[in-house]
Amino acid sequence: MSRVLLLGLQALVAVVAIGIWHIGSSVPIGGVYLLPKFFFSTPMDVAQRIGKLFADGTGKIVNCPEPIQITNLLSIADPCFGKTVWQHLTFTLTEGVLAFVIGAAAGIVLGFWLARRPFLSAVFDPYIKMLNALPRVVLAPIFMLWLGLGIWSKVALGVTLVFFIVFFNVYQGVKEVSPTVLANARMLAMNERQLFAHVYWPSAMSWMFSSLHTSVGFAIIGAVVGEYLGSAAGLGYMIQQAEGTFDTTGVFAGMIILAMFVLVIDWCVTLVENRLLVWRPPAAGGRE
Amino acid sequence: MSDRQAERDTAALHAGAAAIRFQDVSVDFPVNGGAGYPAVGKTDLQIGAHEFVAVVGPTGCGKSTLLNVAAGLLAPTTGQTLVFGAPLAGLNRNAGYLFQQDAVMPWKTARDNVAIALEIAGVARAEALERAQAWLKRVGLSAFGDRYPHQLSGGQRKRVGLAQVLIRDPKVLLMDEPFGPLDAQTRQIMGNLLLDLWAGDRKAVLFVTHDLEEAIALSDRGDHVGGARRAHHRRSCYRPRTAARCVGGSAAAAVP
Repeated sequence: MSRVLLLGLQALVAVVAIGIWHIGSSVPIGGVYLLPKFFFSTPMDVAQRIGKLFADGTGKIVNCPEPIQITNLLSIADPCFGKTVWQHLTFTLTEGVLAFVIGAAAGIVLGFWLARRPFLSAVFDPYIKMLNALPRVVLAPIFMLWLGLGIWSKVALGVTLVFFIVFFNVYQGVKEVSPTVLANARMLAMNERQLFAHVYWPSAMSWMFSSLHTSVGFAIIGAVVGEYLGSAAGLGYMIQQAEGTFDTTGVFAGMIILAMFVLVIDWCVTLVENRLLVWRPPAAGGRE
Repeated sequence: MSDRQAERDTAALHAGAAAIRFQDVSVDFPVNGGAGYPAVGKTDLQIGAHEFVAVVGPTGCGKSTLLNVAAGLLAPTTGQTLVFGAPLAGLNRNAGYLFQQDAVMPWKTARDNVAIALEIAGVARAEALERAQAWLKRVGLSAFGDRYPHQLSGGQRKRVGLAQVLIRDPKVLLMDEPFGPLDAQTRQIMGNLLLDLWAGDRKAVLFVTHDLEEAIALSDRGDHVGGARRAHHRRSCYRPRTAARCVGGSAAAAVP
């Protein structure tokens, strides 16, 4: 299939979806709006809101009556005051990056450590499984209690999500080093440190990077969910504030900005992946 | 350990000791609960310092196990292995091992895979890369140094493995059906390549294969280049067999 045709069809899907949304919300069919504006907003309104958000930079995701002097005193929590959309994005991005870096680092260290010590791994096994089975959202309140409404409670939530993905992948990567490659490396007279650098590490990294999309995605999820539950900035906060005032347009605008944001990050991850895993054979239908 | 051992080995080499000598070596694998499963029965086998010895037998008769004992990857249940007269403890530092499966590191290019063998011995990277390139040329891969293993054919990967093993200049070469997975034609080409390289310094070679023709072909060529020629095989492996009977047979039969 040619690239042009593919792009054309991809665009068509968007056009049809937005078209249905537009007709449902703006054109009465038999006197009834299938997608009432109050609940679904309209594509035009949402597009205008997004445009305005990025253009004038005041970052008012909700419609605010002006002026609102009293609430300015509580400006940290004031949706109509202060932060631009860029600041919200930066906030979420910072949380996501911190959550990913800390979670990945902890996952790598513990993954290696336990993979090389089967006894310890057996001791901790039920607890790791238990923690991993726990829905992480229930941890959010406790993190807020411990770390406050600022950036760190969201980072902590993201870390608990990222950690387990990276941990299990690194653990598996160390365990599943090809025995032949390992025996060969040992026959080439590698010592423990060299085995780590040339065999275990690359193998674990290949596993970790294969889950990079998932773990980066979870870092962002942790940040947004944390913001949604209690925060003064960030995309999750932006959406939550809009929702609080029944501002459907604001909710949809926030959601679309978030989706774009995640797409850009995912694209960056793909770039990193292609650069670092250049040695890996193409996934399916590879030669031999 | 390695320095002193190497000295002793060198001394033993000059004294004309066998490169590898199995003395009463047997290997049992523990089977869940029961008695050990005898993978290799009592084996006495000797490989001279410049001999090309092939061990032939069908799959599952303990050939690879014997090779792993020689490499020091596996400790024998009884008996001992002498390497140039010294009992082997731990890995056999005099040996290069060419595995049946792909053993090169998939995350390194062909050149890096060969160079790493030198780098871990402390050779500077620039020099290691240069010598690696020279070895790639000797195995006919000079244009493929930048390729990753998955971008090479099975035969080419074997060549990389061969260069990786030989660049360290081991005194003993252990080969575990190295060309087994290749097609007949490539196998022949690789056999000739091996013999050409071997003719240079005639290392001791312990070559394990299930392919009698390959064993004979290689040792014949060994004869041709003037090497000692003895193809060892465990006769009992050719009969209708059980694994125990197969490995219990006499270890070696000389072929003139």
